[in-house]
Amino acid sequence: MLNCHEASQLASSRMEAVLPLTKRVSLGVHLALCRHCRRFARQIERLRRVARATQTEAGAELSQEARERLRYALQQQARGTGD
Amino acid sequence: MSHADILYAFAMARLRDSALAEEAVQETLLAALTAQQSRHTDFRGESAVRTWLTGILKHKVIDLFRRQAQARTAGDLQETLEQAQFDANGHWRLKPGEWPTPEAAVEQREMGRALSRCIGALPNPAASVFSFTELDGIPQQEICNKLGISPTNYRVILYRARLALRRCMEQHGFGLNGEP
Repeated sequence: MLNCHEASQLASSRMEAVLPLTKRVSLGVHLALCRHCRRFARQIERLRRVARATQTEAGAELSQEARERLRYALQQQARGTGD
Repeated sequence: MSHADILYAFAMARLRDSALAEEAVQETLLAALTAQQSRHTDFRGESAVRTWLTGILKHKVIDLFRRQAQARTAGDLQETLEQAQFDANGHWRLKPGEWPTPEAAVEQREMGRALSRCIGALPNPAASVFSFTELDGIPQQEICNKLGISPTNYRVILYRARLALRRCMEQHGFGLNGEP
């Protein structure tokens, strides 16, 4: 019988790889009996959905200096002088 | 420069380092410029350009991350993180609380902001391993190869990142009925 620590590890691993049958069954049994681990499993799946929907860092903006450096690098390249 | 700003925000969400993110934007735009000069690329609309640019950026970001990872002493999420959440018998010490449903768009955005802050609070490489996996869906094999980490280590890093992030989200008020 898995404990919650082990079950939560498997709940995480199954998001990247297919678990071997015995582990899948043990996890299934544990989740059927444990609402805390069910929540954990649901919530880490939800973190994935939220992450996929959040592709950029809110409020991240290039500084004026960074903008200048970029413009310069691009001009150099456009003139064919390389970097 | 609006493309550059989007690319920068995109890079910051993955690298969390302004100098590195700037480098990623520059390398992306230079690569894009070279590609434009060598063959005629015809885009229908701004969104196609953006998709093309972010596609280039995704690869630049992971390459840059690998390069700087070699020079850096890796701070990592420690086992103590697991010990804080589970007792010696492997039972939850900090029981997950119920999260609000349904997932309305407004709430999703709010969660997105909280998640960004929580990822920002993770040490690297956990923050970037999580981002490459969950923001980009890059396959495990590719992340392990590029960052030079074993599959076991990858699983541990990701598991601890998820434990820490789930907890952090509750600290930002997303847990209902949970324990404080």
